[in-house]
Amino acid sequence: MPTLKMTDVTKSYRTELVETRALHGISLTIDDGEFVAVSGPSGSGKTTFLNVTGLLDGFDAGSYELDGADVSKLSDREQARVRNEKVGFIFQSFNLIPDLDVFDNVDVPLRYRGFTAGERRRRIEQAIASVGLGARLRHLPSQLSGGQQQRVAIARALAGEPRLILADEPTGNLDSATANEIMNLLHEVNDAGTTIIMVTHDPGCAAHAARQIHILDGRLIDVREEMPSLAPRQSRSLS
Amino acid sequence: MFFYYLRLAWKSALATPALTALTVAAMALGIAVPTALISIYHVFAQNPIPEKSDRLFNVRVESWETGSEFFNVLPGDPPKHMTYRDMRGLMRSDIPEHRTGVSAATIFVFPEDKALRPFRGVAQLVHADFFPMFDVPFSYGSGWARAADDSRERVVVLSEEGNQHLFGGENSVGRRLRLGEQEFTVIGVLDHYEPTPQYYDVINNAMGKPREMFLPFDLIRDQGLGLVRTGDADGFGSVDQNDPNAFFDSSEVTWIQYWVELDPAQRADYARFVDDYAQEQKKLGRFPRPLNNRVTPLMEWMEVRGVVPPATLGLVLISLLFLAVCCFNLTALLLSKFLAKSGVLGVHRALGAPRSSVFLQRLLECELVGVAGGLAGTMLAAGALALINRWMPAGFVRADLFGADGYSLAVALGLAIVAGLVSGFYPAWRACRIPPALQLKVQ
Repeated sequence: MPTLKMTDVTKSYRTELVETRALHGISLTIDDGEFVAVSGPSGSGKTTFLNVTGLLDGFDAGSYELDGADVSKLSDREQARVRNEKVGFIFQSFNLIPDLDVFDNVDVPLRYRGFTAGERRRRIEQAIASVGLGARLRHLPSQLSGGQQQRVAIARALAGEPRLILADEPTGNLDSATANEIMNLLHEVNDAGTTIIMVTHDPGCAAHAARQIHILDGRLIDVREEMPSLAPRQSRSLS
Repeated sequence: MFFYYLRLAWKSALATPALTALTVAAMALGIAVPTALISIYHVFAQNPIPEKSDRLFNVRVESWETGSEFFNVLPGDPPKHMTYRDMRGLMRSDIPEHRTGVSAATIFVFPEDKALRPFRGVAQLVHADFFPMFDVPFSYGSGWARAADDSRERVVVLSEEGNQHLFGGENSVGRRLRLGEQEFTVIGVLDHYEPTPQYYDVINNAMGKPREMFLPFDLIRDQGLGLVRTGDADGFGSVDQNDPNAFFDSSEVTWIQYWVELDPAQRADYARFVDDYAQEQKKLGRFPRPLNNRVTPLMEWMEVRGVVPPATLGLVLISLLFLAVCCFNLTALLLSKFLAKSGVLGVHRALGAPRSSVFLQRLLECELVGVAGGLAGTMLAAGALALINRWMPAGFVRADLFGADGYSLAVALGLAIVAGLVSGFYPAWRACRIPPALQLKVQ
C-alpha cells in the first residue's frame, strides 16, 4: 500500500505582478517503508514539495492521497490532525522550541494528540532513550549541541509513531561525523518500517536512501532510481 | 489543554522578560487610572444598604410660598428637607413600619475624664426608629424606645469613635456624660458603622465620618440644654422671636430630612397620606403651591441629591479612553512579538496544532500579560487613591474614604481581561493566519 500518492500536483506562488510556478504536475507514489531522497539545486522546489507533502502548504491543482485518504480538501483542523497523527517533521535548523526543555519539546505533538499523561510520559521517555539522550530530559535546547538537538527533533518526530517522516536537510547544519550519526539514526527508523522522505543537497546523504528523486524547476525528472541495497549500509559502516 | 496553553504562555512571556515587563507596565498604567476612578465612582454611587434600600423612602412636601424661590434642588422638585411641624404631622401616620427625622446640632461635651478638655461636638438628632430602621449595629446596649422621644429623655448613643474618644473604648453603657447643661446617660455604643455614602444625611454629611453622638430628636426643643441646630436650612417668613416654641410650631424653615421604612407595596398609600396632609395644610392657609410631594426610594434620593459628583462619570469615561489608547499601543507591541516568534508557531502548527489552538495560545499570553498588568494596576490605583485621600479637605470626607478593596481588584481584573482580549485579539489572529510553511521559513 502506498504511503502517499500524488497526481499532477501543481503549486504556484503569486504576487501582484508575478506568478512563480514552484511545482509542475508532480506525480509520484511512495510505498510503505521506503527511504526516499529528494535532491535538486536551490530554488528547484524541493522544500515546496516537502511542505505540500506534509500539509504545511496547499497546492493549486492535482490530487494527493496520504495513507490511503484524499487530503486535497481537508479543513485546517483536519489537516492539523493528519500532520499530528501521520507525519513527523525533522528540520535543518532543528526547530526545537527554545523555551521548552527536551521532555517538553517531545511532549508537544503528544499533547495535541490528546494522549493521557501516563501514555505521553511512556512515549517521551522511550523516544528520547532511542536517540540516546535519556540523561538530558530537562536540558533546554540551548544547552545541547547541534547533533543532540537534531536527535531531540528526531525523538519528537518519532514519539507519535507516524507513518511518514519528512526530513528537510536534516544534516545541513551538522559536521560530517554528527551527520553520519543522524543518518544512521534515520536508517534505524526506516528499518523499523517508517517511510522517510528526505530533502538534501548532499549527494553523500542522498546515497543513504534506497530511492532518489530529483526535482528541477518544479518538475520531477528522475523517479525510482534504484540504488544498490547495500549502499547505505556500507556508508553507515564507514561512519 | 487550557492549562497546557497557559504554561506555554507563561514560558513564552518569561522568554522575553524585557518586552513582557514593558507590556505589563503599559497595561498596569492603563488599568490603574480607570480602576482608581471607578473605585471613586463606586464609593459615591454604591448602594449603602442593599438588603433594604427598596424599603427606605425619603419624604418631601411642597411647603414653599409662591412669592420666592428656593435653591439647590432639581427643577420642579419640592424643598429638599421639611419643617419641624410638617415632620410631626407626618409622624401621625401608622403606615410606615419605622420613621425618623434626621438633622444635626452642636453641643458642648464635658468628658468624664478630666484629662480631656470640653469640646463642641456635633450630635445627630434622630428618632428611636433610626437604629432598627437603618440596621445600625451595637457593641453595647441599644438605642432608646419611642417613649424616650416623647419624654425627651436625657440619653445618648455613642459611635464607636465617640466611645473611644470619651471612654477609651470600654463598655460605657450606664455611664454619665455631661452635654451642655445636663447630665446624660449612655445607653448604647455602636459597633463599627460607617455607611458610605452616609445616606440618611446626604445633605449635610454624605462622605464624612458618622457623628460621635446620637440624641433624641426632640431634645432640640429644650431651650436650656444648649443644643444649637446646625446644617443646611432654607426658609421664608418670620416668627415671633420671643416665643421659644415658635420656630418649631409655626416657622417655615425647612431643615429636617425625613425618612420612613415601609413595604414598597404601600408606597402609593403612604403618598396619598402625604397628599392628604398637604391638603389639610392648604385648608390652614399653608402650602400655596400645587401638590408636589415626594416619597422617594433611597437610591433615587441619592441620585436626586447628586451624591455622585457629575464630573466623576466623565472622568471614568476619559480614563477608559486612556486605557483604549494603551491597548492600541499594546496591540502593536504584541503584534511585533508574535510575528517575530512566528517560527515557533510554525513548529506548533507542523506538530499538529490547528489554527484555533495557536490563536488561543497567543490570546492566553495576552491575557496573562493583562492579568499581571491588572494586579500591578491595582497597586498603582491603591497608591493613587491614598494620595487622593490625603489631598481631600479634612472634615469634608473621611481620611480613609477612598481605597483599593476587593471591588477595585475585581474592576482591575475585569478591565485587564477585557484589555488583554482587545489588545491581543488582532495580533493572535494575525499570528494564526500565517501559513505554517511561511512561519517555518523564518525559524
